[in-house]
Amino acid sequence: MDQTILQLYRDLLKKNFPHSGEIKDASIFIEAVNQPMIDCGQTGSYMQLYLQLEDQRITEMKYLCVCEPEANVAVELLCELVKGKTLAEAQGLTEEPFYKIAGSRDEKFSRKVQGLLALLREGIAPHAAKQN
Amino acid sequence: MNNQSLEKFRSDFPALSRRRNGKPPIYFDSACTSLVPRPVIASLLQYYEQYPACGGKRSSHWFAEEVTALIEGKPEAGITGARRAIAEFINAGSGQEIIFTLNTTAAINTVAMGFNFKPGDAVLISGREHNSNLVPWLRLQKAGLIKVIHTAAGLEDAFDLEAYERCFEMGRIRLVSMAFTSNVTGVTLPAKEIIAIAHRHGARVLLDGAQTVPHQPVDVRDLDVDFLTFSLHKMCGPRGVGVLYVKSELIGKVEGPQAGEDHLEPVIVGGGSVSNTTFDSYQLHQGPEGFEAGIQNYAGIIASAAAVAYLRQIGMERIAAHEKELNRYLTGKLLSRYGDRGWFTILGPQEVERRGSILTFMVRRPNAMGIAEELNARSNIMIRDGVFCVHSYFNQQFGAGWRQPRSHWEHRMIHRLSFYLYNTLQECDLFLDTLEEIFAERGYLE
Ligand SMILES: Cc1ncc(COP(=O)(O)O)c(C=O)c1O
Repeated sequence: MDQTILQLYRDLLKKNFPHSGEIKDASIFIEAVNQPMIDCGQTGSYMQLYLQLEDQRITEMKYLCVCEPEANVAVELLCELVKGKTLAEAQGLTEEPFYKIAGSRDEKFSRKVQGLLALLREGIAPHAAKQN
Repeated sequence: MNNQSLEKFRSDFPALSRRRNGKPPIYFDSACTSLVPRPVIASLLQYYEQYPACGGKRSSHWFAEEVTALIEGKPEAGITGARRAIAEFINAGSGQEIIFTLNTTAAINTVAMGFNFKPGDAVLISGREHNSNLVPWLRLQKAGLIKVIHTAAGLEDAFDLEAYERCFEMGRIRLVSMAFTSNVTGVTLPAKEIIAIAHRHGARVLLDGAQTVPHQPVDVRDLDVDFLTFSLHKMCGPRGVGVLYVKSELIGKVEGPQAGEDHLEPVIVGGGSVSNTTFDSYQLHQGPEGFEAGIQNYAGIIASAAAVAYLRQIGMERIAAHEKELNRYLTGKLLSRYGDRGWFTILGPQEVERRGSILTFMVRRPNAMGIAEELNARSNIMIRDGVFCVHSYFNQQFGAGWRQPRSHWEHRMIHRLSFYLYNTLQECDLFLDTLEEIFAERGYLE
């Protein structure tokens, strides 16, 4: 595993995955099971994203997953990055901030970032359309 | 028996001479499908180069005669034939009890669809069945023909013969169909006792020998089993060839079965399986011929004989002892390193003797995914992770939602190593070192 991502992952382990968990009655719920888009193989991986909206902005995002460490680092970053954004802004989120914060462009990490962004965009599209 | 004694056979497997990133392959996935030795590859090639014609006594020209002889035998020319070679390998009474199929799955489906079940019959399976010995029965149940009953299997996979016998009070069990050796726990069932009890209750027995026949001696006559299924691709043989052994009394009657008598009918019928047809009728061949309709995988069937000859030359007892030695070594090391950590478990019985060639372990840590992928990427170590087509067993053990836990600390990932004659202690050491690296990097050892 890429050493930088690995370090980030071990920090998450120590902090007990700060964004992990559910949001009861979340404004938006997105789920992927065994999907190549989160690229965790066909071994029972799953990813659930919970977004809380207030005044048209994302106030909180949490997740539940069984996924590889790279995907977990990516989804933790995603939870930070979407906070305070409108759905339209979240849809416009690019890969760059992930690489900048992580300090790595590791190929596997990058695939997870791309997969997660695609999942997020697809999941919030119907809600974003309503907001506009 | 020592590990080095089989080392010389490694050079028979061309795939082992490959290198990636300067390193050799370490293949611990033989329970999925095994590597193939040169004599088997040569046999396959020989068919395509020398006599790429049909068998089954259809054509009687030069090439076809050679194919037919290599399958059905030609004693006067000293050719045993693949059918007889397979029969001898499992000590069947004759080649007429050997039906070639596509694989184990097809063989089990042949029994599911071809056995003369009556509405209300029950099929008894074990609690740790591969989907191939579950879904065919569930389908019959869904169609309303049979009822499926299963015995219990705990994580230790101990078989309770008394509880098994009590199952016969639960329905009219016509067939007991069980994985002889589990592909998850490695446990081989007490088949002789299981069969004797079933016969006492008037039921037939199918043993799914997919994980047994490649790894230990099997004697169908001593077992008195009615059906045995296995796949050549798991035993150094060609892909696309399975075997359905059927006791002769179930298929071999020239006059056909009496009404109500246990009997197996062919499922796929057509060319080659009949001796005569009119526009109103057909006359099926008795015996295996009736079951092998259409042009067959002759190259594979012929190469099956090369595979069993190869295994016999080494000796099944010797192969079994070698696998146990590797398993004992690796189990000991893994348990001494991680056994007390609380998140590392070996599935199945803790006594290695009962697990044969299979070592399945569970890692219950956050993000325990991708370990198999990393073993492969770092050291060319090929193992399997997932649920190994035994979903029902894991769902029963861990609860239906176990694959979507609500906490990182509940993540469970299951990994399986399966050994064969070509594996070595050195490979086990490399596996141990690489696994330790991965665990340490992920912070599991802190
Ligand atoms: C116990 C058991 N039964 C059946 C099968 C299915 O074998 P095949 O894929 O050759 O049909 C397997 C394959 O892994 C197995 O392990």
